[in-house]
Amino acid sequence: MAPLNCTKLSVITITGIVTQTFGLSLFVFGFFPVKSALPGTSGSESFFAPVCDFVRNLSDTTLPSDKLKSLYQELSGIPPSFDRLILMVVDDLPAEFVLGKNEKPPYKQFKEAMPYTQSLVASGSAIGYHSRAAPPTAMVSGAIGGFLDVAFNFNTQAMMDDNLLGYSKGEGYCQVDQNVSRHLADELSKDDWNLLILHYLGLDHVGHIGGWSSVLMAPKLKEMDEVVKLIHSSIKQSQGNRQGRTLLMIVSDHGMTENGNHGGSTYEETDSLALFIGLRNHVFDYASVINQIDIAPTLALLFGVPIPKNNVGVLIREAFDSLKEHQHLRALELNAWQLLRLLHAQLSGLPCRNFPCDAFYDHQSSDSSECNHTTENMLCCLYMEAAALYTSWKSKRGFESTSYKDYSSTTAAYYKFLKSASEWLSRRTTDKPVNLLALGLATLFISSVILSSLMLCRLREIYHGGNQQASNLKYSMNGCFLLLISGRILRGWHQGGVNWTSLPDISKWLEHAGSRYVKPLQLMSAVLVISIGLFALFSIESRGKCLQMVRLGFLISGLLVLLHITRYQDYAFSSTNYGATFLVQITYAILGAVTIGTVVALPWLIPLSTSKIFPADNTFSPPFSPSIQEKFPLVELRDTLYVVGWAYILCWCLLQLLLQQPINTTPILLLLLQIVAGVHYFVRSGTQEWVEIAGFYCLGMAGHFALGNSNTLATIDVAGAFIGISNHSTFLSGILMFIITYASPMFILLSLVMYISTKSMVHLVIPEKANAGDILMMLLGFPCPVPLVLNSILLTAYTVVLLFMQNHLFVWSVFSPKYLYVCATTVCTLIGVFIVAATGFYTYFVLAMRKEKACSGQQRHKIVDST
Amino acid sequence: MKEELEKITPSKISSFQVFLIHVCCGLALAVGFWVAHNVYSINLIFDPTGTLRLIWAIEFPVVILLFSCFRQKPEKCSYLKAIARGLLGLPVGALINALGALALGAPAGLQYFERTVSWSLLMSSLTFVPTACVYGSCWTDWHRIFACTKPKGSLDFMLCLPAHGAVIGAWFGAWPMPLDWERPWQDWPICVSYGAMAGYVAGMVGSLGLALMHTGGKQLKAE
Repeated sequence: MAPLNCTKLSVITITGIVTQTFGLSLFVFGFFPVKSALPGTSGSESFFAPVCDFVRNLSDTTLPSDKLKSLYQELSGIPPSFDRLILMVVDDLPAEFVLGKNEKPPYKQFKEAMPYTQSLVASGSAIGYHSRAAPPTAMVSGAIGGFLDVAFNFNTQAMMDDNLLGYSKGEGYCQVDQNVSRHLADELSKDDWNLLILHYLGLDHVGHIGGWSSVLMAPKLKEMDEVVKLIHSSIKQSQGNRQGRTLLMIVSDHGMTENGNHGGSTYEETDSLALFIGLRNHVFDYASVINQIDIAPTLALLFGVPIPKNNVGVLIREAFDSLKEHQHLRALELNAWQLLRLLHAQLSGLPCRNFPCDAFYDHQSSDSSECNHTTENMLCCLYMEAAALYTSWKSKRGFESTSYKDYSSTTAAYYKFLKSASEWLSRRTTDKPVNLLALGLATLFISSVILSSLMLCRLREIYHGGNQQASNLKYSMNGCFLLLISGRILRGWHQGGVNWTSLPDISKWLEHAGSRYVKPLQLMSAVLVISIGLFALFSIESRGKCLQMVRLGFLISGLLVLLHITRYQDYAFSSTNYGATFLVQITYAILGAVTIGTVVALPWLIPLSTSKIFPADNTFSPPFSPSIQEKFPLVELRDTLYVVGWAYILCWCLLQLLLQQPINTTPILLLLLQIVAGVHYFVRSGTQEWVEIAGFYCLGMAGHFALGNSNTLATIDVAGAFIGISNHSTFLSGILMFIITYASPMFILLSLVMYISTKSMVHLVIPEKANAGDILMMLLGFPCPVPLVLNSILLTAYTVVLLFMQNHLFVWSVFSPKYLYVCATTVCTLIGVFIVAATGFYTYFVLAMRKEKACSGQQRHKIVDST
Repeated sequence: MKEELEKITPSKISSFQVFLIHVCCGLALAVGFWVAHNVYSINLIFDPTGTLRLIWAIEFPVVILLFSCFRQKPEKCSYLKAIARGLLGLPVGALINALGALALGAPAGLQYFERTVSWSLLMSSLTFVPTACVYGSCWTDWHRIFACTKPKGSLDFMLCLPAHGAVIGAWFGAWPMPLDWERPWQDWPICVSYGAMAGYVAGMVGSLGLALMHTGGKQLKAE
């Protein structure tokens, strides 16, 4: 194989990056489809047949809630069966515990643990279902809670999640639920609520600790049973008085496996319970299965409110058995209209689009021969059939009072339409364009193969070269200690991970102690950061004016940042304060000007090697032979890169000091210390360069979490994104948010410029016949590809994981946010590597040009002298 | 057995002796677990401190007594002195292990103090004490074995491989700790101890294999 040269390396790297970007965008567009959901909440229009102009705006949401309620009742034609709902959410309760599995009654141990519930089910005063949770639609049942809130705007007593505080003690799991139950008796006797949500978390914890067979399981179930008994008896007492009829619904969000895990898509995990207590049951079996999404429309109609617009579920048949025939059919019609609206939104080519405008039903089109062609045709045709049957039933109803056969066929036709529409719709929300995903993944894989093989080639060449440095243990120890200690403090600063956020950490401790401690610490850290940066800049001996300018610029911006911290950083009103905004804007401007000015102008202005300048630390000074020193501007290159690298570091640090929360100032200082210690440690130790850069990369990723970020989108610091922005701009805020969130990885990537100038130049062994490409490759050959390779491997791995997990219940809440973070990390890596590479190339070429000119000028002088 | 082991000069340790030592150390671990489980009916998950202390109390004497037989320069250093070196090495090694674990992310709260102490004592007797018994405070030997990782001969392998195995195993054992499985064994230092012991056993197997290969090669050469 031909040896890599600089051009080849950069061409292959760029190919890899382009492939990666292409594959990533393919995958992202395939995986996160732009779902056409209907906006808004549904109002009274849902009680009319769909018409052409859907935009018809009924302003009934402005009505007071009690009027709205009666309006709904009047329009729907179905009297609400219930007035109040108690939703008892028991986390992780598998339906198997109550209803058994495969038409068999539940195990004895569970049956004995919940005697009251069992008796309710057996006596027929409750209907129990296995409700199957489907990943993307599991939230729909959650959406109904929110929807009911909006529709009624009544006093909603939601006692959810008030109990997260005390769950770290071993015995405490029973207490979690007692917190909920304690208030229950009070609440039940009041009449100021219409929706009561009880969220019991305890079973989830018990399941996680010991699984099904845990000793805690039976008492826990018994406790739940007691609660059911309490509620049910209070419902029975209050029946008939003004509080109205109450429906108690026991649902679980998902099941669990036998050892207590959940979230997967196995039967045990998706098998959750839906128990309607208060509905009469006629035929009881242990095996009726509904989808979790069916709960939403059923509840809506039972309570006489419109079905949510984006519902894809079907009414549960048994829930409406007690209704009169025409009411049941009307309910079905409402559900069908709602689904038809949703179908219209998703299928623009739905052939029966025009019929509601004609207001009469075309009987010819309901030939069954047409029902087979396409999905659209079939769904449309099914709907027409049901609608036609319904109209004929309605017209006949006046004459023949008992047309039970017609009724049942109409119901059957409606259910057929509803079932197939629901199936189609929910499949549409789950179905992904498989080809697009596969292509995206394949492209990502190819790109990571390209990048890794490039890396391997480069490594092999280096090993053939075999220039190992002897390590110097004593010197490197200090750096190593500093690295470890600051890493440990960073680790303890914020608890990463959703499950551990409640555990104590340094930031919580400080915030608890109050601003008395936070403020001095912040100020101290800021001063230290600025002085470390300025010390590094001042440590270069130079008579050049340009360097003085750089120092002055950073000094001024440092002082401005300190001013901002001391005067304005009482976070709450800094964004509205005009003076603060102005100060921050000035700081941005100076910082930007100084940094860009340094990067662009320094290579042109730095004096050439006649006046020799070194970094203060003379241990680095490499023994360049004079011939090479004449040929290449090595000393200048090293000094320029050193200054530019520190300019990047200082600029980034100062930005972070402005933007990050006060508590995060010390982690910035620690990150800076890590970088300095790491560079010093690596310069003296003889480790492979790629290992060092990989180590830096990992430090950056660890720092990301040390700054309080996590894998959920909730931890993104939105408040910081408006600092120094006078008028609202999504674009600028987005950039600031990116700067805040990716502070640490970007910091590391930017500091690679400084690393290159100290590390590579020390061990640079330049053969006599070197050219520009060789030198550039020695400088940038590792620092640029290594982060790219690592990132591409991680990206591909996460893509595979996401693809495997696409049917997991938590795909939207856990895996997708993580993937978004990974995508943003990719963007961050690309930007960082681009900056490093561009700086390297630009500096080198400018200096080389100047050197050449100077050389030829000298030679001309010599020639002139000799003549 | 003690005299028999002592007769042979330590640099020429036979593969049978390596086997014997490793089997004894491994058995001590197993006995520790057995006693914890059957006599005191505690285990690592519900009582990590007690179990670790018990295992350490059984493992440590075995290690210190066995490895002191292979002390360097037995003519200058008596058996008792080797044991004293091991006893001295124990707290030093425990301190280093504890500091290392803390630096790499072990929880630093006071409620974990006892666990950390008992864990680091056990780790010290798996990693530090054997080398302390054999080499004492000879800096070059320590340097050779642990810093440069250039062991020579079965004895070095016998010291170096199980120690490295224990440390690396502990590190791998810490991997599940940050996961959100909410299992009791994810707590510090339970899975780390399991990992360390597994690594230790793997290291012993490796060292035994190397010793066998070594002597096999020698015999071939001799023929």
